[in-house]
Amino acid sequence: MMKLQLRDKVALSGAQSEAARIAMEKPSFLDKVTVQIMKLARQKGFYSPFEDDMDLPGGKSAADLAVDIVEKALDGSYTWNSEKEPDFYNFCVSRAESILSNWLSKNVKMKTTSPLASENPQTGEMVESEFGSVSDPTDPYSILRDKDGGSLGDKFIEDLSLGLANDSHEQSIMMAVLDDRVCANRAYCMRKLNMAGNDYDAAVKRIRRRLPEFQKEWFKATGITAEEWEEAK
Amino acid sequence: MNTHDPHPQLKAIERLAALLHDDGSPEVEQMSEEQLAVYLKANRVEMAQPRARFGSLLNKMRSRERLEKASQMRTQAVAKAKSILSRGEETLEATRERIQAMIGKLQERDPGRALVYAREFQKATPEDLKLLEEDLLLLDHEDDNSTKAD
Repeated sequence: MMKLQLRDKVALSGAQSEAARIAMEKPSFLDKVTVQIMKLARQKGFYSPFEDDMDLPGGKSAADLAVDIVEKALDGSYTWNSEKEPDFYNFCVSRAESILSNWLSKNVKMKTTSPLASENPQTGEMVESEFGSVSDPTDPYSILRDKDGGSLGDKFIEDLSLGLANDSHEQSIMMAVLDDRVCANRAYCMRKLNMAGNDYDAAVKRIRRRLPEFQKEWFKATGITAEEWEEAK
Repeated sequence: MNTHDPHPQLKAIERLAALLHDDGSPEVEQMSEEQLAVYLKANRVEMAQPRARFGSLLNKMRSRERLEKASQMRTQAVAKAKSILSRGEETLEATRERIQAMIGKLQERDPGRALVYAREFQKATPEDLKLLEEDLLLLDHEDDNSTKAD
């Protein structure tokens, strides 16, 4: 069994504390870290396609996570090596990145719901879990993402694409998402499909409108229930 | 600069999720204060409580820094005081050496008087030394003048 060795926390002091304070006093420091977390979380597929809500798993907002990171950097829970990374803002963003990656890898492994400390895969240091639970078994997005290594999600997208008007912009977008591993952002997808911004945005709006209803129909038709998924786990 | 992977390995459903939430807004580094505020508002991110927590962290830091600086200043003040005191000791030592030299010089001219001053020197307190030095300087000055007159 892995031994947990928690190091002593040493709060920032002296020049490091001053450098962090100066960074934090810059206008919009908190807004910047928060928006950066939201963008990172979006890029990593954290936000459900079925909801507009941009809270992180466990109901934590990006802003809450941003303040948590700053607090832990200041109290020494996270070690800021200012020689390696002199910019406190970049340090906070790198912590956010590793917390989100950590959460994702835990989610994939489906191993634990422990709020105890775990090892950061990048730095090797012990960090507390940011989220109380790793996956919501009743959430359609979690089911599509995790069941059969994601192949259920592929089937969902395929069925959705086939149900859309042939050769429509929205069908092209859905097929591109299914086939192209890089097609996960607006700029790339527009370029790939040679689509104008207005056309692209309108098609995405139509997909978003169609999704909630289709999701309900699809889960009903395939007979996958939250209980079955829970049992399968 | 941040070095996050712009193309993480996502499953198709995650790519769809990422795509549907991409509003085409610029990179954070390129966003102005106003754009950041608009982005947060548009995504209904509740900022009041996090801002209050952040403000309190900042205030704590400022207080801690002030304490650290005050402590540093105290340490510096103590060091300075010690340095002044040691310089005072150096001055005292230098005065003693000057007096001894003057008594030695006086002994060549007036051994009796030199003996009197040597005794006074032996029992002199630090406060007496200044007066003793002044006396010897005056005596030396007078002797010089009388030698010149001769």
